[in-house]
Amino acid sequence: MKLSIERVSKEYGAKRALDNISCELTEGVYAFLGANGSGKTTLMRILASVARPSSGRVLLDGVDIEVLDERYRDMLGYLPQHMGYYKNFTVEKFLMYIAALKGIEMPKAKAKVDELLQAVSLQDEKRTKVGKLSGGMKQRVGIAQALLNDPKIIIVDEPTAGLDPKERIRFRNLLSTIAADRIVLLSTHIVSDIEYIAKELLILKRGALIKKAEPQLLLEDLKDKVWTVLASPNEIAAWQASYKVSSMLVRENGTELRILSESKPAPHAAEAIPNLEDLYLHYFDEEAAK
Amino acid sequence: MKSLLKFELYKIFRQKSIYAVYVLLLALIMISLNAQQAVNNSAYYKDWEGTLTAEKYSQAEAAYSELMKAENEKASWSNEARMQAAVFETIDTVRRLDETNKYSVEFLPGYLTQLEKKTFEYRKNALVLRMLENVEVNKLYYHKAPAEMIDFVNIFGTMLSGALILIGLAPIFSNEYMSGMDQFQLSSRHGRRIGVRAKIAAALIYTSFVIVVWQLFNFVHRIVVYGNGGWQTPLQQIFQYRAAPYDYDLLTFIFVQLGMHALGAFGFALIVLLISAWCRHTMMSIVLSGAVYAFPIAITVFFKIELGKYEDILDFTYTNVMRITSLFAEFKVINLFGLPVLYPYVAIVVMAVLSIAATMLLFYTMKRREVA
Repeated sequence: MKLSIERVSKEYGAKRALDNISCELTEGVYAFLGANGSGKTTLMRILASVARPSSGRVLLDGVDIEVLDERYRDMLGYLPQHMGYYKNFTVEKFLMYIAALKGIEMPKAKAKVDELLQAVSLQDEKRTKVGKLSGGMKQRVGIAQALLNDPKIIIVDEPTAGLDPKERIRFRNLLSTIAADRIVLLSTHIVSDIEYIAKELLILKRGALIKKAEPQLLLEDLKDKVWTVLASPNEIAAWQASYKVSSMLVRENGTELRILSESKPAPHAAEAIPNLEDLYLHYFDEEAAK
Repeated sequence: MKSLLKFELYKIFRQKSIYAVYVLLLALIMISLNAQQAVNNSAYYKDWEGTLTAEKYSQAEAAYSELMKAENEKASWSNEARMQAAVFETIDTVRRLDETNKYSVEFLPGYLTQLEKKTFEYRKNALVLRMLENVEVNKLYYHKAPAEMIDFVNIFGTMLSGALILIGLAPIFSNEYMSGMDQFQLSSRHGRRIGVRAKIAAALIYTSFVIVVWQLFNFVHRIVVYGNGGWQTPLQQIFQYRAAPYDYDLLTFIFVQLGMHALGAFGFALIVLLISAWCRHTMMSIVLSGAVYAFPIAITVFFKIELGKYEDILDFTYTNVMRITSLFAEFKVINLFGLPVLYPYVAIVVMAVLSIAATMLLFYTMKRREVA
């Protein structure tokens, strides 16, 4: 299975949200990394067929998804960034409704709903109205609905927003388990969500795809550019003014700053192994500073 | 489709506002109807019921003269005498209607000979002649119940259908956009086609429900107040339909009226769905759909715009098709390539074309729809 994005652009009036994006995706987890307004959500919406490109096209195994139409959407599981719901529907009714939209027969849908409620630990809430659930619970309902039809292509936009750390780990594990024979597209700000499961990272900036590679290859680019220095409290401000500081860790003998720098920033600086947070800071330093 | 239809029906019927508005409007209508004099006068008609012959006409005339003579000698007319007089006046009206009809049937063949055949004018007059030949108005029954049932549709029925279609159906798509549910629908297998079909089916079922409920209310209320009878009375005995060339008794006309009203209401429901699919906000959807509904009333009543020879176009608006009266009240035809086509048939075609167009446009809209 191959999903090809061919020269896709999207304009909203004068604003260009996506600029000539091209790439190919096969089975595995792909993580879209980008700051707010980078075009992640727009691209995911196009892939989820809830938006259409202004130019370019998306092909599944060589066939335009607009031509595939229902057949494409039948393979899709989509969790949007801001999940909609009917506040007066119970969790079970909501999922049964989505199952009906996905064309799942009633008895099969019932069994699938029960199975997924178990998987997202919401079996005790099946009779609760969706409007009464916490943000994290609603997000779990959203995850369950995306998986109802055993989709071959899963598109999840900021899926871990609102989940507590335990739920995030569960979701991560769930995704990596099911990703073997599926294309999973995930966008997030939380880099730890994708650290161990992403087959490739797609880095978007101002609507353009600036990098697409395996995480390790991207981290290779940062080799010799990440450093740690020990600083006294009155030196921290000066370091922050001069360098991109990705993290600070208070130690017994001072504060350890993690710094991105093309060259060794100080004689006592030690080279560190780059991680995805460094990578994020490297590409999106202004947004990270916000 | 079946399970989606159930969900769509559930979503429509669980809106509390439709029940609140329905009950409120029916209560107001009930108050308005009870404010009128509502008495069953069927007993006064018993002796005269059936086909009115020349003999019965003379008997009625004689009885009326006698009554006038007796009552005019008193200081004032008794209630009973007034009721009896009303019966005689009705008989006299029927006689005049019958005479007018007979005159037309006798006059038209001669007039046709003066017209050139195969012209629109000739065909139009030949058609009205054929229709009038079948009309028999000389029957008398106490028909207050069916007459009031028919009258209800013109104002109250149309108001109830319009208001409830607006409230119940204007949110059908726009609410999905506002709640964010459109993201799931548009990305799902059935969201853009079968889902839309289910919404249309649910909307039409809801519209039927609205009509059936007020028609039941109308039927029961009229029967209780005026008694069960008069169904076989000719349509022409209702004041608005005196000039109607249609050979209907009141029972038949009630069904014709119901069918025509339903056609207009279904057409209006479909246009409301289309507007809802275009509007991101329910309020905007209600306002725009309301404007479509109020259009003919606004033109003629509020803005008093003179449309001249185009005024009859308003007869084919959703609201006026639902009201029906202007379609059947007199002999009105359009000239279709030299052929006269009666207004009710034109209305059926207009409603069918508008409904098909609205449905196709709705499917097209939802096929192309993008989330905001």
